[in-house]
Amino acid sequence: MNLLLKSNKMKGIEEILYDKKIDIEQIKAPEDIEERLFNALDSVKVIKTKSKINYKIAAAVILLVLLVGYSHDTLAYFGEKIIGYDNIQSGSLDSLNNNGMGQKINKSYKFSDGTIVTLDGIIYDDKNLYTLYSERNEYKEIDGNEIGSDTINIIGYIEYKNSTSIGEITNNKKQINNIMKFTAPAFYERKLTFSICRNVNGKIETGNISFVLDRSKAIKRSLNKNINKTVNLNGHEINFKTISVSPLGIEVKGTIESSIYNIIHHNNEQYNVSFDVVADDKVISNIESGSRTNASLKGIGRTFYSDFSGISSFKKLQLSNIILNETKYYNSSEKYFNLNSNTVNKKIDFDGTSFEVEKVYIDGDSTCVQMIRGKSAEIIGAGFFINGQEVHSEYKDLEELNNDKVRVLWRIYGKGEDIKFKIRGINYISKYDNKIDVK
Amino acid sequence: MQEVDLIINAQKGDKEALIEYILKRKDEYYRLAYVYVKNQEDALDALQEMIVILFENIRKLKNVDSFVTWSKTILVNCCKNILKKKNKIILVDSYKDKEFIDKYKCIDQSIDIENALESLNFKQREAIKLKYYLGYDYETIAQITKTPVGTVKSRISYGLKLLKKVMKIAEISKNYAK
Repeated sequence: MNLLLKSNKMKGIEEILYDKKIDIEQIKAPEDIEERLFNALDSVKVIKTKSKINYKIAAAVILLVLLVGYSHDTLAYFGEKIIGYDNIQSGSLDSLNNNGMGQKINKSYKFSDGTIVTLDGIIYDDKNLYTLYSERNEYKEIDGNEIGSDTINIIGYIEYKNSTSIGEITNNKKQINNIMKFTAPAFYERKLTFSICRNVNGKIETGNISFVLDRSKAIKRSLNKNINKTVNLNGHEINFKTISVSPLGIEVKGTIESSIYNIIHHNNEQYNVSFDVVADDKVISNIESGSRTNASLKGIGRTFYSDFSGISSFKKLQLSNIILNETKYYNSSEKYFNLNSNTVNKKIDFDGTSFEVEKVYIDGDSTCVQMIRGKSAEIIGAGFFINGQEVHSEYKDLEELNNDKVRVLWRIYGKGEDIKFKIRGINYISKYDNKIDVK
Repeated sequence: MQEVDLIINAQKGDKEALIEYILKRKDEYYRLAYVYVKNQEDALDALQEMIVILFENIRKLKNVDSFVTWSKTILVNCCKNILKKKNKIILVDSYKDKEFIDKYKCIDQSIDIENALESLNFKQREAIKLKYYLGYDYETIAQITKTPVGTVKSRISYGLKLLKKVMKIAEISKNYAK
């Protein structure tokens, strides 16, 4: 552990992380785990409909999407026309493939267990690079547990990590074709290495495939433009600053202002912005808050990016369905609301938002609290206390009502004459009804 | 019955022996799954899938002593499959999970660090959580994630540096506004 301690600041972060360990250790397996395990083995030969492991399913197309911080819409593939990737290509990039865009590599590496990795080609623009590669072994079937377990990087003067991938196991289960996304190599890169690190029979083996970037094959941007539009939602300013579009993806940069103020005064807020990108009146992507943030005096900068769903040509481009999810936490609040079986139509005002407890009733060994909330204000992390002890509860939405309200129900696992109710967090949803014209 | 005997019996086809073994360490397995998928239902789903795979493949296990690492590797892969299938982006919205929120008494620090962790890529976050949340050593993390020990150390090191940077930026923002 001490090897990683370089400074006091880093030690502080480690202490915070170790504090979380104490919380994690409080987590106990639920009581029905035994029943679940028995049920699972009862049907051991049956392919479960909810099973996420598809390697057992013959001739199935398996989609593997590893997303980190990005949303994605339609997966698209493009490059030189390479046989075998047809099932995992779609969207606007399909036309690029048909036009032979991309750079063919066609180099292989053979691992000691007979697995051959072939880098068929690459396609890239100034922001991202996609590799099309296959893994095959004539002597054994693809093990579903192995999928996604390889460590793959592109190495130049610096190392480029992958962030997203999609793959397909072929009919004979002896080959998997993949498309994997990386950050685009820096402008000065020319010679690159596609490096695969695999566990081969218990030992780690690394295979390298070198290639030279042909910059003439890079995909050009469709649009680079300033947007400079501001949307006000629930007291926050969301500034859409720039947009950059290529067939490979769409990037929107902006800021959310008043975040600094809220961090100081509320200290516990989280934001998530999502919106649609509409080209020629058709939604081509839904994008959510990006993972890249940088704080400044003007607010928290965000980069929103759509994976695999770019566009090459369009006449009109708009941003629509802009939604702000703002989650506030009140764990340090000492405000409680008293409830009992006689509670009927009780109004609760909390941080400027009103809720109504319609009724409280006993149902078997549980107590039910039926409430009406606004559609745009969802209570999260509610706490119910009976005789000073917090009890477990479950929440569900019952029905939507006409006036932008929702009827909801909490089932508290316990009974008592005096119940205290505490609100730990509220998620506020604000929507901007208009569209922003980009082009 | 000794744990080794349970595994040997499971290899002979005894389902109850396998379940008994898992139940002896149920909190350990459940916490591992929960750290990945962050909710009870998905964690239980992952455990169900894990036990099916274990039972179907336990006869191939040559070294009974490696059962724990082997089973946890499978559990982690099950969790990752669930995350992949759900296109699960671990956004801050995951804080809506009531159980997750209720576990944290010191919300200020917890939310900051959880938000900061989202700035890391999946593999960095995974390595850091396995080390700090669950207390696994480098060798165990390497075995479970099928990565070289050096890579694990590198991911943790790089991830911590990035965390420090992100938290420092947040601190500067707070201090400036004062």
